[in-house]
Amino acid sequence: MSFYQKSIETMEYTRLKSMQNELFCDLIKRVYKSVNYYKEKIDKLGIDIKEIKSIDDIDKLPYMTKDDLRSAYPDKLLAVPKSESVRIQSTSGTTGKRVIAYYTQSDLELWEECCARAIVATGGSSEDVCQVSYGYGLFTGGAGLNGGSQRVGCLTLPMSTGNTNRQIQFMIDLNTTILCCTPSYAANLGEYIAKNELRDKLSLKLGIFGAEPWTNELRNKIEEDLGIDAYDIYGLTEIMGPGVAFEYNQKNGMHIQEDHFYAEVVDPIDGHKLQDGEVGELVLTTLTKEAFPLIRYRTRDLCKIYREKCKCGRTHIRMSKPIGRTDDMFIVKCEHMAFTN
Amino acid sequence: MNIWPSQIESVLIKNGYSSNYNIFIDRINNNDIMDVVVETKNQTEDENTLCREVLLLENAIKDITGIKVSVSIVAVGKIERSEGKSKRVFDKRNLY
Repeated sequence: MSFYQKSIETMEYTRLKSMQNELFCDLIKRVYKSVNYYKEKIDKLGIDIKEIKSIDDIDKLPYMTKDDLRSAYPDKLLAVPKSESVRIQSTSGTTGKRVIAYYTQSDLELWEECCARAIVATGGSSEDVCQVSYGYGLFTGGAGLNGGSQRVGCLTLPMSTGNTNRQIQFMIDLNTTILCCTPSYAANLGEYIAKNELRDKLSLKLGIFGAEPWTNELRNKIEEDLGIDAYDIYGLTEIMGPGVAFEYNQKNGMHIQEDHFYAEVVDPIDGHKLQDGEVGELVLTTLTKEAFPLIRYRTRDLCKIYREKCKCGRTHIRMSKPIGRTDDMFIVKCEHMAFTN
Repeated sequence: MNIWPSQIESVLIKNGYSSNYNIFIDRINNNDIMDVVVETKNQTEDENTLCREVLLLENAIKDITGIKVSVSIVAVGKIERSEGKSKRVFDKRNLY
Protein backbone atom coordinates (compact mmCIF):
# COMPACT_ATOMS: atom_id res chain seq x y z
CA MET A 1 0.00 0.00 0.00
CA SER A 2 1.49 3.32 -0.96
CA PHE A 3 0.68 6.79 0.29
CA TYR A 4 1.27 10.26 -0.99
CA GLN A 5 1.37 11.81 2.51
CA LYS A 6 1.48 8.89 4.89
CA SER A 7 1.79 10.85 8.15
CA ILE A 8 -1.42 12.76 7.43
CA GLU A 9 -3.37 9.92 5.84
CA THR A 10 -2.69 7.54 8.72
CA MET A 11 -2.75 10.12 11.52
CA GLU A 12 -4.07 8.81 14.81
CA TYR A 13 -7.70 9.88 15.31
CA THR A 14 -7.21 11.97 18.47
CA ARG A 15 -4.48 13.96 16.76
CA LEU A 16 -6.61 14.35 13.66
CA LYS A 17 -9.50 15.59 15.80
CA SER A 18 -7.40 18.16 17.60
CA MET A 19 -6.06 19.36 14.27
CA GLN A 20 -9.65 19.68 13.02
CA ASN A 21 -10.62 21.63 16.16
CA GLU A 22 -7.88 24.14 15.58
CA LEU A 23 -8.60 24.52 11.87
CA PHE A 24 -12.32 24.80 12.48
CA CYS A 25 -12.05 27.56 15.12
CA ASP A 26 -9.76 29.48 12.83
CA LEU A 27 -12.18 28.98 9.93
CA ILE A 28 -15.13 30.39 11.86
CA LYS A 29 -13.20 33.48 12.94
CA ARG A 30 -11.87 34.16 9.48
CA VAL A 31 -15.18 33.60 7.71
CA TYR A 32 -17.12 35.72 10.22
CA LYS A 33 -14.66 38.54 9.76
CA SER A 34 -14.30 38.48 6.00
CA VAL A 35 -17.61 37.26 4.55
CA ASN A 36 -20.52 39.55 5.19
CA TYR A 37 -23.00 36.94 3.95
CA TYR A 38 -21.94 34.56 6.75
CA LYS A 39 -21.77 37.31 9.36
CA GLU A 40 -25.36 38.36 8.62
CA LYS A 41 -26.57 34.77 8.62
CA ILE A 42 -24.87 34.00 11.93
CA ASP A 43 -25.92 37.29 13.58
CA LYS A 44 -29.51 36.83 12.47
CA LEU A 45 -29.66 33.54 14.36
CA GLY A 46 -28.22 35.21 17.46
CA ILE A 47 -25.16 32.97 17.52
CA ASP A 48 -22.16 34.28 19.43
CA ILE A 49 -19.11 32.94 17.62
CA LYS A 50 -17.10 33.12 20.86
CA GLU A 51 -19.16 30.12 21.92
CA ILE A 52 -17.76 28.06 19.06
CA LYS A 53 -14.85 26.44 20.84
CA SER A 54 -14.42 23.14 19.07
CA ILE A 55 -15.69 21.24 16.08
CA ASP A 56 -18.34 19.65 18.30
CA ASP A 57 -20.02 23.08 18.38
CA ILE A 58 -20.63 22.85 14.64
CA ASP A 59 -24.27 21.91 15.34
CA LYS A 60 -24.91 25.49 16.46
CA LEU A 61 -24.17 26.81 12.99
CA PRO A 62 -26.65 26.98 10.11
CA TYR A 63 -26.44 24.93 6.94
CA MET A 64 -25.46 26.39 3.62
CA THR A 65 -27.41 25.26 0.58
CA LYS A 66 -27.10 25.65 -3.14
CA ASP A 67 -29.70 28.44 -2.85
CA ASP A 68 -27.30 30.36 -0.60
CA LEU A 69 -24.62 29.96 -3.22
CA ARG A 70 -26.94 31.14 -5.92
CA SER A 71 -28.05 34.21 -4.02
CA ALA A 72 -24.42 34.99 -3.23
CA TYR A 73 -23.55 34.83 -6.95
CA PRO A 74 -21.06 35.87 -8.23
CA ASP A 75 -18.70 36.78 -5.38
CA LYS A 76 -20.51 37.45 -2.11
CA LEU A 77 -18.91 34.39 -0.48
CA LEU A 78 -15.39 35.28 -1.51
CA ALA A 79 -13.35 35.30 1.69
CA VAL A 80 -10.13 36.89 0.41
CA PRO A 81 -9.51 40.01 -1.68
CA LYS A 82 -9.97 39.32 -5.38
CA SER A 83 -6.30 40.12 -5.90
CA GLU A 84 -5.40 37.02 -3.85
CA SER A 85 -7.64 34.72 -5.90
CA VAL A 86 -5.95 33.15 -8.87
CA ARG A 87 -8.62 30.90 -10.43
CA ILE A 88 -12.32 30.25 -10.73
CA GLN A 89 -14.12 27.03 -11.61
CA SER A 90 -17.84 26.69 -12.10
CA THR A 91 -20.64 24.13 -11.86
CA SER A 92 -22.35 23.07 -15.06
CA GLY A 93 -25.55 24.85 -14.14
CA THR A 94 -27.74 21.90 -15.16
CA THR A 95 -29.97 22.32 -12.10
CA GLY A 96 -30.21 26.10 -12.30
CA LYS A 97 -27.94 29.11 -12.06
CA ARG A 98 -24.21 28.39 -12.13
CA VAL A 99 -22.15 28.49 -8.97
CA ILE A 100 -18.68 30.01 -9.13
CA ALA A 101 -15.92 28.82 -6.81
CA TYR A 102 -12.70 30.78 -6.23
CA TYR A 103 -9.20 29.51 -5.45
CA THR A 104 -6.07 31.08 -4.04
CA GLN A 105 -2.66 29.67 -4.94
CA SER A 106 -2.70 27.67 -1.72
CA ASP A 107 -6.22 26.34 -2.49
CA LEU A 108 -4.96 25.05 -5.83
CA GLU A 109 -2.03 23.41 -4.12
CA LEU A 110 -4.21 21.60 -1.60
CA TRP A 111 -6.50 20.49 -4.41
CA GLU A 112 -3.54 19.05 -6.31
CA GLU A 113 -2.40 17.35 -3.12
CA CYS A 114 -5.84 15.76 -2.58
CA CYS A 115 -5.94 14.44 -6.15
CA ALA A 116 -2.35 13.22 -5.85
CA ARG A 117 -3.33 11.22 -2.75
CA ALA A 118 -6.20 9.68 -4.72
CA ILE A 119 -3.96 8.65 -7.62
CA VAL A 120 -1.31 7.15 -5.33
CA ALA A 121 -3.98 5.33 -3.26
CA THR A 122 -5.14 3.45 -6.36
CA GLY A 123 -1.59 2.44 -7.24
CA GLY A 124 -0.42 5.32 -9.42
CA SER A 125 3.19 6.58 -9.38
CA SER A 126 5.61 8.70 -11.38
CA GLU A 127 6.11 5.69 -13.68
CA ASP A 128 2.56 6.06 -14.97
CA VAL A 129 1.11 7.72 -18.03
CA CYS A 130 -2.12 9.37 -16.97
CA GLN A 131 -4.73 10.30 -19.56
CA VAL A 132 -7.11 12.95 -18.24
CA SER A 133 -10.28 12.68 -20.31
CA TYR A 134 -12.48 14.77 -18.07
CA GLY A 135 -13.59 18.10 -19.50
CA TYR A 136 -11.16 20.98 -19.08
CA GLY A 137 -12.19 24.59 -18.66
CA LEU A 138 -14.71 25.68 -16.04
CA PHE A 139 -15.50 22.07 -15.08
CA THR A 140 -13.38 20.88 -12.14
CA GLY A 141 -12.77 17.35 -13.45
CA GLY A 142 -9.96 18.11 -15.91
CA ALA A 143 -8.24 20.75 -13.79
CA GLY A 144 -8.30 18.65 -10.62
CA LEU A 145 -6.95 15.38 -11.98
CA ASN A 146 -4.48 17.19 -14.23
CA GLY A 147 -2.99 18.90 -11.18
CA GLY A 148 -2.93 15.70 -9.14
CA SER A 149 -1.37 13.68 -11.93
CA GLN A 150 1.44 16.17 -12.45
CA ARG A 151 2.00 16.37 -8.70
CA VAL A 152 2.49 12.60 -8.56
CA GLY A 153 4.88 12.91 -11.48
CA CYS A 154 2.84 10.94 -14.00
CA LEU A 155 3.29 11.82 -17.64
CA THR A 156 0.02 13.70 -18.03
CA LEU A 157 -2.10 13.71 -21.20
CA PRO A 158 -4.56 16.64 -21.03
CA MET A 159 -7.01 15.08 -23.50
CA SER A 160 -10.28 16.58 -22.25
CA THR A 161 -13.45 14.82 -23.44
CA GLY A 162 -14.58 13.74 -26.87
CA ASN A 163 -12.87 12.74 -30.11
CA THR A 164 -12.89 9.09 -29.11
CA ASN A 165 -10.70 8.08 -32.08
CA ARG A 166 -7.94 10.36 -30.92
CA GLN A 167 -8.36 9.29 -27.29
CA ILE A 168 -7.72 5.68 -28.25
CA GLN A 169 -4.88 6.56 -30.61
CA PHE A 170 -3.02 8.40 -27.81
CA MET A 171 -3.87 5.62 -25.37
CA ILE A 172 -2.14 3.12 -27.66
CA ASP A 173 0.76 5.27 -28.92
CA LEU A 174 1.75 6.68 -25.51
CA ASN A 175 1.00 3.53 -23.49
CA THR A 176 -1.50 5.16 -21.16
CA THR A 177 -1.69 3.27 -17.86
CA ILE A 178 -4.22 5.42 -15.94
CA LEU A 179 -7.48 6.74 -17.37
CA CYS A 180 -9.41 9.55 -15.64
CA CYS A 181 -12.90 10.46 -16.90
CA THR A 182 -16.58 10.12 -16.08
CA PRO A 183 -17.73 6.50 -15.69
CA SER A 184 -20.16 6.94 -18.56
CA TYR A 185 -17.37 8.06 -20.87
CA ALA A 186 -15.22 5.15 -19.64
CA ALA A 187 -18.07 2.80 -20.60
CA ASN A 188 -18.19 4.35 -24.06
CA LEU A 189 -14.44 4.07 -24.52
CA GLY A 190 -14.80 0.43 -23.45
CA GLU A 191 -17.50 -0.13 -26.04
CA TYR A 192 -15.32 1.41 -28.77
CA ILE A 193 -12.32 -0.70 -27.75
CA ALA A 194 -14.36 -3.91 -27.76
CA LYS A 195 -15.95 -3.12 -31.13
CA ASN A 196 -12.58 -2.45 -32.75
CA GLU A 197 -10.83 -5.30 -30.91
CA LEU A 198 -8.11 -3.04 -29.56
CA ARG A 199 -7.82 -4.29 -26.02
CA ASP A 200 -4.57 -6.17 -26.65
CA LYS A 201 -2.92 -2.96 -27.80
CA LEU A 202 -3.63 -1.14 -24.51
CA SER A 203 -1.38 -0.79 -21.45
CA LEU A 204 -4.16 0.50 -19.17
CA LYS A 205 -4.06 -0.76 -15.60
CA LEU A 206 -6.48 1.44 -13.70
CA GLY A 207 -9.12 4.13 -14.00
CA ILE A 208 -10.27 6.91 -11.69
CA PHE A 209 -13.86 7.74 -12.47
CA GLY A 210 -16.12 10.33 -10.89
CA ALA A 211 -18.30 13.44 -11.37
CA GLU A 212 -21.48 11.34 -11.57
CA PRO A 213 -22.93 8.53 -9.47
CA TRP A 214 -22.30 5.04 -10.82
CA THR A 215 -23.21 1.56 -9.71
CA ASN A 216 -20.98 -1.37 -8.83
CA GLU A 217 -22.57 -3.17 -11.79
CA LEU A 218 -21.19 -0.48 -14.09
CA ARG A 219 -17.84 -0.76 -12.32
CA ASN A 220 -17.69 -4.49 -13.10
CA LYS A 221 -18.59 -3.86 -16.72
CA ILE A 222 -15.96 -1.13 -17.19
CA GLU A 223 -13.32 -3.30 -15.49
CA GLU A 224 -14.14 -6.16 -17.81
CA ASP A 225 -14.32 -4.10 -21.01
CA LEU A 226 -11.11 -2.18 -20.35
CA GLY A 227 -9.24 -4.88 -18.43
CA ILE A 228 -8.52 -2.52 -15.51
CA ASP A 229 -9.32 -1.78 -11.88
CA ALA A 230 -11.89 1.03 -11.68
CA TYR A 231 -11.95 3.42 -8.71
CA ASP A 232 -14.39 6.08 -7.61
CA ILE A 233 -13.36 9.61 -6.71
CA TYR A 234 -15.72 12.07 -5.03
CA GLY A 235 -15.96 15.82 -5.01
CA LEU A 236 -18.00 18.82 -6.00
CA THR A 237 -17.13 22.24 -7.34
CA GLU A 238 -18.71 24.03 -4.40
CA ILE A 239 -16.35 22.26 -1.99
CA MET A 240 -13.25 22.03 -4.23
CA GLY A 241 -13.72 19.58 -7.08
CA PRO A 242 -12.66 15.92 -7.33
CA GLY A 243 -10.47 14.62 -4.52
CA VAL A 244 -12.64 15.40 -1.48
CA ALA A 245 -12.80 11.62 -1.01
CA PHE A 246 -11.30 8.71 -2.91
CA GLU A 247 -11.37 4.95 -3.16
CA TYR A 248 -8.22 2.98 -2.44
CA ASN A 249 -7.21 -0.45 -3.65
CA GLN A 250 -9.85 -2.33 -1.58
CA LYS A 251 -12.79 -0.55 -3.34
CA ASN A 252 -14.59 -0.47 -0.03
CA GLY A 253 -15.81 3.07 0.54
CA MET A 254 -13.98 6.35 0.00
CA HIS A 255 -11.75 8.05 2.55
CA ILE A 256 -12.81 11.67 3.10
CA GLN A 257 -9.68 13.81 3.45
CA GLU A 258 -10.34 14.91 6.97
CA ASP A 259 -7.40 17.23 7.33
CA HIS A 260 -9.20 19.45 4.80
CA PHE A 261 -12.89 18.50 5.05
CA TYR A 262 -15.23 17.76 7.94
CA ALA A 263 -18.14 15.45 7.16
CA GLU A 264 -21.60 15.05 8.69
CA VAL A 265 -24.69 13.19 7.49
CA VAL A 266 -28.17 14.67 7.99
CA ASP A 267 -31.76 13.80 7.20
CA PRO A 268 -32.36 15.19 3.69
CA ILE A 269 -35.93 16.24 4.55
CA ASP A 270 -35.75 17.89 7.98
CA GLY A 271 -32.00 18.34 8.34
CA HIS A 272 -31.60 16.62 11.70
CA LYS A 273 -28.21 15.10 12.28
CA LEU A 274 -27.86 11.35 11.75
CA GLN A 275 -25.51 8.90 13.40
CA ASP A 276 -22.47 7.56 11.60
CA GLY A 277 -23.58 4.54 9.59
CA GLU A 278 -27.03 5.91 8.74
CA VAL A 279 -27.77 6.85 5.14
CA GLY A 280 -28.53 10.52 4.64
CA GLU A 281 -27.36 13.69 2.98
CA LEU A 282 -23.64 14.41 3.16
CA VAL A 283 -22.81 17.80 4.68
CA LEU A 284 -19.27 19.11 4.24
CA THR A 285 -17.22 21.87 5.84
CA THR A 286 -13.98 23.04 4.26
CA LEU A 287 -11.39 23.41 7.02
CA THR A 288 -8.47 24.86 5.10
CA LYS A 289 -9.72 26.50 1.93
CA GLU A 290 -9.02 30.23 1.79
CA ALA A 291 -10.89 31.85 -1.09
CA PHE A 292 -14.18 29.96 -1.00
CA PRO A 293 -14.65 28.32 2.40
CA LEU A 294 -18.00 26.68 3.10
CA ILE A 295 -19.46 25.77 6.47
CA ARG A 296 -21.94 22.90 6.65
CA TYR A 297 -22.69 22.75 2.95
CA ARG A 298 -25.54 20.41 2.05
CA THR A 299 -24.18 18.42 -0.89
CA ARG A 300 -27.50 16.70 -1.73
CA ASP A 301 -25.49 13.47 -2.16
CA LEU A 302 -26.94 10.52 -0.27
CA CYS A 303 -24.51 8.16 1.42
CA LYS A 304 -23.38 7.01 4.84
CA ILE A 305 -20.15 7.81 6.66
CA TYR A 306 -18.36 5.42 8.98
CA ARG A 307 -15.14 5.29 10.94
CA GLU A 308 -13.81 1.76 11.01
CA LYS A 309 -10.33 0.39 11.06
CA CYS A 310 -9.32 0.21 7.43
CA LYS A 311 -7.10 -2.42 5.88
CA CYS A 312 -5.25 0.24 3.92
CA GLY A 313 -4.07 1.90 7.14
CA ARG A 314 -5.80 5.22 6.53
CA THR A 315 -7.55 6.63 9.57
CA HIS A 316 -9.77 9.16 7.83
CA ILE A 317 -13.52 8.56 7.90
CA ARG A 318 -15.06 6.71 4.97
CA MET A 319 -18.16 7.44 2.90
CA SER A 320 -20.11 4.85 0.94
CA LYS A 321 -20.55 5.19 -2.81
CA PRO A 322 -23.35 7.80 -3.12
CA ILE A 323 -26.71 6.43 -4.30
CA GLY A 324 -27.10 9.66 -6.19
CA ARG A 325 -27.88 13.30 -5.70
CA THR A 326 -31.32 14.20 -4.43
CA ASP A 327 -31.82 16.17 -7.69
CA ASP A 328 -31.34 12.91 -9.64
CA MET A 329 -34.15 11.15 -7.85
CA PHE A 330 -37.55 11.37 -9.43
CA ILE A 331 -40.93 10.75 -7.95
CA VAL A 332 -43.42 8.75 -9.94
CA LYS A 333 -47.09 8.86 -9.12
CA CYS A 334 -48.78 5.66 -10.16
CA GLU A 335 -52.32 4.33 -9.74
CA HIS A 336 -51.47 0.73 -10.34
CA MET A 337 -48.45 0.16 -8.24
CA ALA A 338 -47.24 -3.27 -7.42
CA PHE A 339 -45.25 -3.37 -4.23
CA THR A 340 -42.74 -6.10 -3.77
CA ASN A 341 -40.66 -6.97 -0.79
CA MET B 1 -42.58 6.20 -5.51
CA ASN B 2 -39.00 7.47 -5.38
CA ILE B 3 -36.80 6.17 -8.15
CA TRP B 4 -33.07 6.51 -8.63
CA PRO B 5 -31.56 6.18 -12.10
CA SER B 6 -28.92 3.96 -10.50
CA GLN B 7 -31.61 1.37 -9.71
CA ILE B 8 -32.43 1.11 -13.41
CA GLU B 9 -28.74 1.08 -14.37
CA SER B 10 -27.99 -1.88 -12.14
CA VAL B 11 -30.96 -3.91 -13.46
CA LEU B 12 -29.92 -3.29 -17.06
CA ILE B 13 -26.27 -4.20 -16.58
CA LYS B 14 -27.12 -7.27 -14.48
CA ASN B 15 -29.24 -8.46 -17.40
CA GLY B 16 -26.40 -8.06 -19.87
CA TYR B 17 -27.33 -4.67 -21.35
CA SER B 18 -25.03 -1.68 -21.75
CA SER B 19 -25.15 1.47 -19.66
CA ASN B 20 -26.61 3.31 -22.64
CA TYR B 21 -30.20 3.92 -21.62
CA ASN B 22 -32.74 6.70 -21.32
CA ILE B 23 -35.65 7.17 -18.98
CA PHE B 24 -38.65 9.20 -20.14
CA ILE B 25 -41.31 10.27 -17.67
CA ASP B 26 -44.62 11.75 -18.65
CA ARG B 27 -47.99 12.37 -17.04
CA ILE B 28 -51.15 11.19 -18.76
CA ASN B 29 -54.59 11.48 -17.13
CA ASN B 30 -53.08 12.29 -13.77
CA ASN B 31 -51.01 9.15 -13.88
CA ASP B 32 -47.26 9.08 -14.35
CA ILE B 33 -45.78 6.81 -16.93
CA MET B 34 -42.17 5.79 -17.22
CA ASP B 35 -40.50 4.50 -20.35
CA VAL B 36 -37.07 2.92 -20.31
CA VAL B 37 -35.23 2.75 -23.61
CA VAL B 38 -32.22 0.48 -23.88
CA GLU B 39 -30.03 -0.81 -26.69
CA THR B 40 -30.27 -4.44 -27.73
CA LYS B 41 -27.66 -6.92 -26.53
CA ASN B 42 -28.20 -9.35 -29.41
CA GLN B 43 -27.11 -9.39 -33.00
CA THR B 44 -30.41 -10.76 -34.22
CA GLU B 45 -33.57 -8.87 -33.51
CA ASP B 46 -36.43 -11.24 -34.24
CA GLU B 47 -39.80 -10.23 -32.84
CA ASN B 48 -40.21 -13.13 -30.44
CA THR B 49 -36.85 -12.71 -28.75
CA LEU B 50 -37.39 -8.98 -28.40
CA CYS B 51 -40.85 -9.42 -26.86
CA ARG B 52 -39.47 -11.92 -24.38
CA GLU B 53 -36.63 -9.62 -23.43
CA VAL B 54 -38.89 -6.61 -23.03
CA LEU B 55 -41.10 -8.59 -20.65
CA LEU B 56 -38.12 -9.86 -18.71
CA LEU B 57 -36.73 -6.36 -18.21
CA GLU B 58 -40.12 -4.88 -17.30
CA ASN B 59 -40.49 -7.50 -14.60
CA ALA B 60 -36.95 -7.05 -13.34
CA ILE B 61 -37.46 -3.27 -13.06
CA LYS B 62 -40.78 -3.78 -11.32
CA ASP B 63 -39.11 -6.07 -8.81
CA ILE B 64 -36.56 -3.41 -7.91
CA THR B 65 -38.59 -0.21 -8.10
CA GLY B 66 -42.10 -1.47 -7.43
CA ILE B 67 -43.54 0.22 -10.49
CA LYS B 68 -44.65 -0.91 -13.88
CA VAL B 69 -42.59 0.65 -16.64
CA SER B 70 -42.65 0.16 -20.35
CA VAL B 71 -39.37 -0.96 -21.90
CA SER B 72 -38.32 -0.47 -25.51
CA ILE B 73 -35.27 -2.14 -26.98
CA VAL B 74 -33.61 -0.23 -29.80
CA ALA B 75 -30.65 -0.90 -32.10
CA VAL B 76 -27.08 -0.35 -30.87
CA GLY B 77 -26.00 3.24 -31.44
CA LYS B 78 -29.50 4.71 -31.20
CA ILE B 79 -28.89 6.21 -27.78
CA GLU B 80 -26.62 9.22 -27.61
CA ARG B 81 -23.21 8.50 -26.05
CA SER B 82 -22.02 10.72 -23.27
CA GLU B 83 -18.52 12.17 -23.20
CA GLY B 84 -18.82 13.92 -19.85
CA LYS B 85 -21.65 13.88 -17.36
CA SER B 86 -24.44 11.80 -18.84
CA LYS B 87 -28.02 12.92 -19.21
CA ARG B 88 -30.27 9.89 -19.03
CA VAL B 89 -33.53 11.07 -17.51
CA PHE B 90 -35.96 13.19 -19.49
CA ASP B 91 -38.86 14.32 -17.35
CA LYS B 92 -41.46 15.72 -19.71
CA ARG B 93 -43.74 16.58 -16.80
CA ASN B 94 -41.70 19.70 -16.14
CA LEU B 95 -42.61 21.11 -19.52
CA TYR B 96 -46.25 21.68 -18.70
